[in-house]
Amino acid sequence: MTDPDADRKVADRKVADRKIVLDVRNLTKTYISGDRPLTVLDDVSFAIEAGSANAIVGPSGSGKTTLLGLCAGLDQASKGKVVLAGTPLDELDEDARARLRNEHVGFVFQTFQLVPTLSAVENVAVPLELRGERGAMRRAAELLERVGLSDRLHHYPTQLSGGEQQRVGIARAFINRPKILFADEPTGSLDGQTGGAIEDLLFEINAEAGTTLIVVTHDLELATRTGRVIRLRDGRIVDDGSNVKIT
Amino acid sequence: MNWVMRTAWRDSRGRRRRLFLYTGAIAVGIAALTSLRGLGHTMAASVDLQAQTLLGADIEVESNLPFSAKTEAILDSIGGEQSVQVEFNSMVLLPRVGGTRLAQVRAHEGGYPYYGQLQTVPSQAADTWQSSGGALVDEAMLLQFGATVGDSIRVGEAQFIISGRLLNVPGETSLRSDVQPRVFIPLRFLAATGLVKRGSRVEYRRYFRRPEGEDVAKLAQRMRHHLEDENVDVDTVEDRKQRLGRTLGNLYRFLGLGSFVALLLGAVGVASAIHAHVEQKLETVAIFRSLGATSGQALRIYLLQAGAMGLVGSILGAAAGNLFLVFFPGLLSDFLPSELTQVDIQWSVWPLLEAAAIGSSIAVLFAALPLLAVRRASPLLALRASYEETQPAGDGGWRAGLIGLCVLSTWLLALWLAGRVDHALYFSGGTLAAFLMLALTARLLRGAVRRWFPATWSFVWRQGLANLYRPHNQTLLLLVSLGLGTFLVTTLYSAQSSIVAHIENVTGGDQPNVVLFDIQTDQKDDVVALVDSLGMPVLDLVPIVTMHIAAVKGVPVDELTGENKGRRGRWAFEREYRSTYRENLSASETIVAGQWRGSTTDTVFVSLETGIGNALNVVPGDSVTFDVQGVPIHAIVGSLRSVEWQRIMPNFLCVFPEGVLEAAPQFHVLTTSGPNSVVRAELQRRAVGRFPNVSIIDLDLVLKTVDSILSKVAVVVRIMAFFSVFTGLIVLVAVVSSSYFQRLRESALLRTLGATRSRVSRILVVEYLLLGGLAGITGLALSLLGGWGLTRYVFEVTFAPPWASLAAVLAIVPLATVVVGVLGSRGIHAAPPLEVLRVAD
Repeated sequence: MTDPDADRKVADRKVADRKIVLDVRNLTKTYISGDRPLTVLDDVSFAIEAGSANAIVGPSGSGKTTLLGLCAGLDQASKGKVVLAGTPLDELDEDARARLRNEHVGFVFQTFQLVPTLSAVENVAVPLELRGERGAMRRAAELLERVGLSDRLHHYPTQLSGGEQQRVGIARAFINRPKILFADEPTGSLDGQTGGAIEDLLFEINAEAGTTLIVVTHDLELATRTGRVIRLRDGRIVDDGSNVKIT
Repeated sequence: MNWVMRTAWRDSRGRRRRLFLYTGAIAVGIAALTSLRGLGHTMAASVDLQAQTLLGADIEVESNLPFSAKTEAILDSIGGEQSVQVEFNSMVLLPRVGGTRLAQVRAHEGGYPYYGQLQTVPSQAADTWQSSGGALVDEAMLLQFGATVGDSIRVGEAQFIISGRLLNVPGETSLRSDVQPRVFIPLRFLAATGLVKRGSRVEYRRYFRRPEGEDVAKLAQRMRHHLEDENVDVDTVEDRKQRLGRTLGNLYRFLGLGSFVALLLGAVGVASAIHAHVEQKLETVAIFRSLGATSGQALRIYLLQAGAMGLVGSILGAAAGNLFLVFFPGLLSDFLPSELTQVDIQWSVWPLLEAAAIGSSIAVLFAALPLLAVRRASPLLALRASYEETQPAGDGGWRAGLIGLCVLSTWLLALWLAGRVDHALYFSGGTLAAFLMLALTARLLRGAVRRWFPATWSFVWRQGLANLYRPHNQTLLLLVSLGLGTFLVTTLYSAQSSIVAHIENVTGGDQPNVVLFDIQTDQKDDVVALVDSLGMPVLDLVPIVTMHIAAVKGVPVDELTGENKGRRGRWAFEREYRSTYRENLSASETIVAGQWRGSTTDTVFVSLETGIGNALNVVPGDSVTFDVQGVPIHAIVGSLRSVEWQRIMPNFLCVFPEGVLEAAPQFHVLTTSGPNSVVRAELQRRAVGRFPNVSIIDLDLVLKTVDSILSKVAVVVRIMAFFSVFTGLIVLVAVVSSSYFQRLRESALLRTLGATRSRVSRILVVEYLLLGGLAGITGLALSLLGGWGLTRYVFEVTFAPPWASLAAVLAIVPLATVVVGVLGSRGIHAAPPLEVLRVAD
């Protein structure tokens, strides 16, 4: 077991010493379930260095996805603070957080979350189109070529296999050159072989782009490929260290 | 093209056919609106174009008294082409076929109509009937008795050869010939008929044709000035246009109610379609939000889609409305002068633009409410599909504002259609109340099914019932749309059938079914003897004296300003009163204020009917001076009476006590009862022969006439109901279609768990049967309430709903719902369950 106070001190020191892209302090999230409050995250603190690869692991219901949602500004904390790319999220309204995501964040989802009515290339282009940038489709086509789908540009999600859909998701996650990429169980919906290929692709492109990577996963093998593993249990960080051994 | 527009277009992929279907709901409302507005424009243009034909002359001078020597002199001094017409009601007899009927006799001399033509068969009869000394007789009457051209017709004591069948008189509606068939005779034979005597109700008219270029309005103004004290009306084409404009305005307002209801139903349909559409899009919205789209951007995507649906629906509706406009005038031909129904349609771009603007705005406005779900859709949904909103929605202000805007726009739409603030309030208030009552009923029914769920019923019935309140159910929408259609149709049908039943009732049994009027005092005893000789009872024999009001509370009527008389009271001051005198109240009367006085002391106390008392603004104790054919009679209002007008007996606005009017020129009305049509016809034949001036109304014929008129009115009502019922069906199709994927998945799940296709189909049938049945019952229950109110308070007859027809409605509505529902869901069992579940996951 680690001492949370000691952890926070370490995190604070890191913030001071290095370039921090995500700073999470004393984060708590409580839902009302029925009539009773249910705390799914309890006083969580950590900081993520720019360019690092990190994994958040833990059993089902440990608060991994909730933590990811709060870090990315998809939800609001009950207590605590998230500073993303230098901007405290609690000072932003929902639309400002959306704009911040569009500017600095990329997502890879477990269930791919492609818009079913958009073709592969259109799905990838969405983040750039939202910015109103020119050449979004050209850039989307280039990225799809990079993930090996140059012959699937105009296919719709239902016409693609699971692996292909996740490749499209990865291409979409990188198109806005994010500072930080959140991947929620990126291989969770894929078979082992396809999942492995997707992992390789994710790490390859991440390395090329120099993006900070945070992966939420059950997959221990995937977690071991990152440099730091944050382990959650019952909404609290029970381990945060360099990637040596995970049980 | 910005991202929102691009995404709105891309996002509609795969659902365009379905979204297109939803546009049908708006299209029907807009079709109704466009056709009615188009009809309005066309009619207005036609009134301008055909104005002279509608009057048939440039100026008409009319009076219900013979023109005085002064009037004659003034009219003669005007010169130019003139025609004279004397018009009165009288019994006419067709001797060959033995038919008698009360007709409107027009004794005529001159070239009138100067504009337009009398339409006759043979056509030359319109030009030759006067010179040949023949008569023109309304086609409806000739057809009724099987008489033909060449037969003779007896009018009073004179007999004429029928020169032609009269098909149309310029400016008059065909409905008129049903109510009162017209008989034209040459004026020179009027005296020979012996029908126009002192006290007879006669209208005298003079028609003028003025040289082209003459200022007719100025001439009419001069005539009015010179004839100010002569009790005559001077009418020009312009006056007729204004009157016709008012009549048409009333017709549009009535029909406008149809398009108003259809448009609102359409708007509700679009709102529901958008609701179903958006529910399936929340995950997509969450993806967009997680990728950086703002809530405003996401909202605009779907608002744009709703606006596009409204626009496409409006354009389609406007096109259909224009097509319908070609047939519309024909459907209304009974209510409009034929000149207006045979004109070219005036095509105009303006109604199309109006329709597009209204359709899109109303679609966006009504869709905005369900689209609030997009605004509050959390991006967290992209991470976990089971995410539940834990924070309050926080859009109460938006919701209230949008509901307020919807109500306001509904009222504005009503105001635009009705043109009057009070009518707009009735329109929007009434419709809103019906909507709310239907919605409330739907909610209560849904709650009741849930609360008292029949757990012991079979699986199929339990599933079908449960579908009524499952998430994403369309119970409320279907009950409102189908229920409103059912409500409208059956209410109007119930009212129509109650009126007919009432007339049948009052004309049957011991009730009077024959009325003889215009009996002169010296004929009274002989007429009574004639009635007796046929074994018929004399139920009533009352004297009638015609009079006008000269002064009220000491102020002469001429000096009362328009403001004193008020808009509605004006007729009460200026109309002709047909009063009686008697000692006692009749069975149909009840005193509501003052005291009944049946005999005269030194003061004359009259009793006024409450409505006329209100219109004259008098109470018991106020004075009223009557002009009884030139003799002033000062009276005090002694009492106000309520009168049951629907009882078949002579009823009066004003009743004098005995001892005042006995010496005044008067005629009598006699009511009797004939056991069958043979006896009644015999009475008419004998009476026409012996007392040609006496008019007889056979109430059996009145019943047939009223029935025929109501059937024609029903055409207009059906047009109105058609739009709402059709919209209801479109909404049903749209709703079924919008829940198609959900049904597909449910079907796959049930089949996976072992249900057969037939069982899944039966669940569907049960669901739609229940929905249709509940909609039918709700609409019918409300219509019984509405029909009762309408018959009790508007038509003042006993409510007699046509139970058999209403029972048929109860069968038809669920059946139609099942047919549309099952047809719309066809194919849901075709795909293998695994395929469906895989796609759904």
